[in-house]
Amino acid sequence: MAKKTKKGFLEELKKEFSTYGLALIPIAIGINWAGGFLVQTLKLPIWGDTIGTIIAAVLAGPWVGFAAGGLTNLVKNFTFDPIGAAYGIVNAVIGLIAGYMYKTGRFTEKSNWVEVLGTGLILAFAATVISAPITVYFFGGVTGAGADLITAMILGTEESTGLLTAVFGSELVTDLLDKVLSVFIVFAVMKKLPSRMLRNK
Amino acid sequence: MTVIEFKDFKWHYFEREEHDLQGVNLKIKKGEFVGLLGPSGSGKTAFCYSIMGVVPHLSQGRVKGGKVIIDGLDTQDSSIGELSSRVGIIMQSPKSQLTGAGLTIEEEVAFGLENTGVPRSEMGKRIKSVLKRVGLYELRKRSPFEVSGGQMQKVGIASVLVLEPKILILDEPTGYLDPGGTEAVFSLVKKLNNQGKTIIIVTHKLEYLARYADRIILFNNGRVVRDGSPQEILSDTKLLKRNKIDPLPVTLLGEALKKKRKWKQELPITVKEAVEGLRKVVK
Amino acid sequence: MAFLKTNYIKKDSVIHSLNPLVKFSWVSLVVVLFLFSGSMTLFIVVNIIILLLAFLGKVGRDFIKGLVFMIGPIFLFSLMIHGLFNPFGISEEVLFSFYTINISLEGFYYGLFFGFKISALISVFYLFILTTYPGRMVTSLRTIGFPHKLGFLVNATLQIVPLMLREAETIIDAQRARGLETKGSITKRLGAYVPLLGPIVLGSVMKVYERTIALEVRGFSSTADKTSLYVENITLTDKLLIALSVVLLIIYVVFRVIG
Repeated sequence: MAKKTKKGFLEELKKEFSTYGLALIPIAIGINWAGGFLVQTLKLPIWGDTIGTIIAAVLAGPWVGFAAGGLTNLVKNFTFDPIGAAYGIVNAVIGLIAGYMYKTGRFTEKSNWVEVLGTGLILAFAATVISAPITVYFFGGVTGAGADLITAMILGTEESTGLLTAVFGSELVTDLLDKVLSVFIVFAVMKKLPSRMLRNK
Repeated sequence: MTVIEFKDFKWHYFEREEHDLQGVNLKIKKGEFVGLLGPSGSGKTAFCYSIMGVVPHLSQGRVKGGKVIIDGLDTQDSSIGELSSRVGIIMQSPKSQLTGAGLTIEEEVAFGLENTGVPRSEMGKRIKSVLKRVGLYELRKRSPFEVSGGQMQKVGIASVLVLEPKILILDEPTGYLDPGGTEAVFSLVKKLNNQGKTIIIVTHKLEYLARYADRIILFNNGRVVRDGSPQEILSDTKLLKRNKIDPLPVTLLGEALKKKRKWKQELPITVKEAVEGLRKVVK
Repeated sequence: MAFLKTNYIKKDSVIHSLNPLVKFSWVSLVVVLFLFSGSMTLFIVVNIIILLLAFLGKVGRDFIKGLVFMIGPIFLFSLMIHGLFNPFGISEEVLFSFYTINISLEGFYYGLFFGFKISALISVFYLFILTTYPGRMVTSLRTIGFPHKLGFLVNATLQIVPLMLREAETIIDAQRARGLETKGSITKRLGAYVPLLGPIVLGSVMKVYERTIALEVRGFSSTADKTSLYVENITLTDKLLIALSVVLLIIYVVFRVIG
């Protein structure tokens, strides 16, 4: 029985990484970077770099989302920008979760706004739960971004219980705004896409 | 020798991307130069996709009957990859037919050869010859996305030609090209036809079909409306107008003269025929 | 705009001519150290070596200019977080006091430690970026058996992303001309974000189908053994340098286990 599920999983993977799935990945990465670029231009306190990942996950499946997310950072680190090398895993997991939520019908083009908001919250918590320990244990809590000021502020309060909670707090603020906004954008895009593109279930 | 055969092929799109094919029956022989005419959304693209195997393998829909045989292969049982060694397709938008797999034009053209396992020693020769044929050899080290639209289209053509397919499908290949580029593409296509390639071309440029095509197939509502020689179809102005196609100016000229009973012979479809006809009128 | 191009700088240098795999081995080595080492000295040495390699690669000045810009805020925030609050420390010893602010000795050390540690990681990637032509990167990976399809993903990304960023810029300019506010309060800027990103996302996703066809007709799904137009030669020097990275890695692991 276990063998059977394993084979099923491999077949599922093969189906996801069809030519269509693979053609989608560079586009998804492009959307991620364009999103990040816009965020920089508009000086917004969010990342904006997971919208393509979530779209890839929705249109082709969780593992395509995973690959799109991971490669977003990896390709960037080897060609454009050396910063953020360790966080590819966060982007990848976002794709994985979003893909499974789509597949199980929790986040689809037919969802209501509560479900969309819920998806955003889940993604935000997941992102923070993965990224905060990375930031603390490998980077000593330092990201070089404005979020570090929030970390320091939390550390400076009487109630502070250490660096991990401080970083968790500061990253959660950014991620909540970022992921909720991102899923709403993806939701709006899904509504506009022809339904033949949303047949992956 | 028949290389393309449609046997009462019926295709239904789940969502109307293009017109459904309502039972297409025809045969195309090796080395024919076939022009496809028809208003937009008449099923021409669905027809082209059916030759390439995009219908039924990639398009979302269902075969409702019949079959398509390409050089002995039933498209429903063969993958697009298998068919791609026999058929090449060139699409309208130059940008979206580039895969982006290569950082230079040369590498983009090489991509199909790499995928199908052509040895390196042979690859270089084939790429060089095909790039020279389409006139891009000097630009081979440039990025395919940083050249003009016309040049981009030629990259697309080169990338397909290099795989040496017997059948070449061109879906509005000159839609984005200037007159010089259009002329260059058509004369290239004719040259390839003379070398034995079967050509299927969708175009609104009737003057080129008049000059080069052996046969024209007129589509509307997912059906073949008429299938005949360029002379037969292009000179039938009523048929063309009924199917929302503007007849050639020379043909309209002949028609106008015919109404005044000054034109006796068949309506002209090329400038040469018009000139000959006019000579008789003047006499 | 620098953002639209890869940051590779074309130069004729020893570092440029190395097989990209050598530089991959350096990146891997530093990543391992980054993950497991706690030695500030080691990270300072790594920083210095990479700096020297950047000069050897004739990109020293660009390297320093770019790096300072990136690690400046990192050192600043690192010294702030650790110097002021010393969250990892146990010792109360104060390095110096300024009014009511105490900078702890141990915190100051941690601040510098994380600064140099992060700087080492950024440096090694930055050296790779500045001295490696992206096309060679994919070719070298393919030569040692990486899947062809992965190479496609990397190359296609490198080509498509600049196109999309250019599109993003055009859309920003067009929307600005129509009076969309890209400056001002945060709510205004957030409000500008969606109409800017929406068209890019929708337009690019709609094109995936056509590109799928383009890939299929070029034999993308063919099961034939893939070949490559270009191959990256691995010279003896390349092999020796990769071997050196491996040896250094082994030495490090051995010392970690024994020490």
